[in-house]
Amino acid sequence: MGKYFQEEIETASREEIEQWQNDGIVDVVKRVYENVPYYREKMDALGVTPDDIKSTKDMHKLPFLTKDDLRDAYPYGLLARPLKDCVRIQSTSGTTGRRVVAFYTMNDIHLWDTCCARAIVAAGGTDEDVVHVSYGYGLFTGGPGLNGGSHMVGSLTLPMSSGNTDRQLQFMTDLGSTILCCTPSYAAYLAESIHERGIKDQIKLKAGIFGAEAWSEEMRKDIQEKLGIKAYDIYGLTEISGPGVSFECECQDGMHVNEDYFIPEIIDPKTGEPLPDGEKGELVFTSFAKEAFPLIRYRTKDITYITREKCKCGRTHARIHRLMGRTDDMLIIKGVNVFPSQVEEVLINQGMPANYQLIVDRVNNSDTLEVRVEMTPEMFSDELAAVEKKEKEIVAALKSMLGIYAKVKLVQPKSITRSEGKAVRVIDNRKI
Amino acid sequence: MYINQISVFVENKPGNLAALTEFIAKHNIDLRAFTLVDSTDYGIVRIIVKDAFDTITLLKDNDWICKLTKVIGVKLPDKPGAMATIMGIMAKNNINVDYAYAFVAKGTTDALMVFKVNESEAEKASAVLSSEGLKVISPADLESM
Repeated sequence: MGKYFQEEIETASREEIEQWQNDGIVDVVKRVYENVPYYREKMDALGVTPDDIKSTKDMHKLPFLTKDDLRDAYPYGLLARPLKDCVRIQSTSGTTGRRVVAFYTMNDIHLWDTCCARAIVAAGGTDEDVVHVSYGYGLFTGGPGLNGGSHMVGSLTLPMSSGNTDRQLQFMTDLGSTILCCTPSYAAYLAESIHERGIKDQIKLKAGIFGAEAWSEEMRKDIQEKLGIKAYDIYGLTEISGPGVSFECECQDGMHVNEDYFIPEIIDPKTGEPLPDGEKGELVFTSFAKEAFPLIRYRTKDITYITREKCKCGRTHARIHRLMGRTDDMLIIKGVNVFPSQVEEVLINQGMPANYQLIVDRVNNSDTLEVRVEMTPEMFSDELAAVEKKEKEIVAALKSMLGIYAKVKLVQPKSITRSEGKAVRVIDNRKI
Repeated sequence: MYINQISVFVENKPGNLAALTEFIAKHNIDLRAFTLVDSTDYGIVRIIVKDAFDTITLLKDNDWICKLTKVIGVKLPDKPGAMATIMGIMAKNNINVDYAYAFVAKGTTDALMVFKVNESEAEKASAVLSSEGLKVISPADLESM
């Protein structure tokens, strides 16, 4: 197996890609207008008909879709094919409100597996690899997605799911796992456990495909060093299919969007106006090739920018930059914009790739920020003064990064709440 | 000569110290000494046990953050001013004591003092105490205490 899973598609010319997308948008708009009353009503309200959409240049005329739409239309309101054609349901890991469900026909599953197969091959995977999937399985798309992609590549697939670290490490050493797929925070945790047990020489990992949560370049360096691997970012969302909507190649310089299936746009989150390439804004996707659950102009709330320049790896599909936060992730504390990723950067710069959580509250009409940091062996000392010094250093570094004072509270390992393997990064107790 | 002390990080929250002590009890760990220093949000528990290596592995496997530290244990003569004598020896030799605590050996009235000095000065501290005729405790001595 070579460098690409599907060379012709992954290295197609921009003209070809545009042709696929122009045909795709015309087709999908027609399909949803005819089959999905929810879309028809939204388009009618704006006075847009399928005839107005002749290419991607006309996309700005189409209404956006948000998570609220998906909740309103729950469960079957956005289905574009009869239920009997659907073979799978997946659901988002949302912790509040109604869950969002997505439907797949057999072809949709195939499309999704193909995306993940491209990601695995881009990370150096072949049919001789042992792919260790430690994403959760079930309604969450992480496990099933990489599992399907790994099958398609022909790799030996270990459906580990998350948790039970002892078993993870035992299989990893006994069965010689070469590619690890999980959340970056779980990868960091496994790296630490491997280090503690002194079994790094028994680990055969060469690459990791890590996604489903935002992570920083510093965290990548840390994981790469500790596990002796190359760590690849992968992006996706259940609404659009699952992991693999975009993925990193060996250049580790942005994630290639599978443009034969998805059209990415960047918009100004306030005005909804499309932004030019290179400008930072909200990522929007149209999954034109999907049969059961195609979404048109779905607002992801993820902030990034896009580049359509050909990558050094030879792939021509557009790249999105590492996620730079979420429109709904941004906290305004004492009037200052705070992103949880800034806290992560501070901790890693201080040599502490620790789990953390921001707790925001309002006391006597004034915002307070507490940053809980899980204690790590590196930070700990038998002397109180040394631990206090470390704590003060974090407070000072946070102050200089965020511009506001944050109280730092050192807590015991694993005491920060997790939801389906993802650490809950923010708890906002303000009643506004 | 030194003995191994285990320091454990404990967050200040109700029941947490109980969780640690129950863990110690459940695994039949026989404590020689136990002290706690604390700040507002967390504390450090320092313990001396017979099998320091086994105990720290067990603690780490169960997600306790801990650290092994070399400390000096010395038998205190049972007479007034004994502590002053030891600190005097340290001062005379220009050795800084980071912290110290005392405990009583099992089945005796012997007081034992544990203190921590800079790692680079541990050997020197142990040597000067011995040369002053004081009994410095070895890990083997802990077996019978």
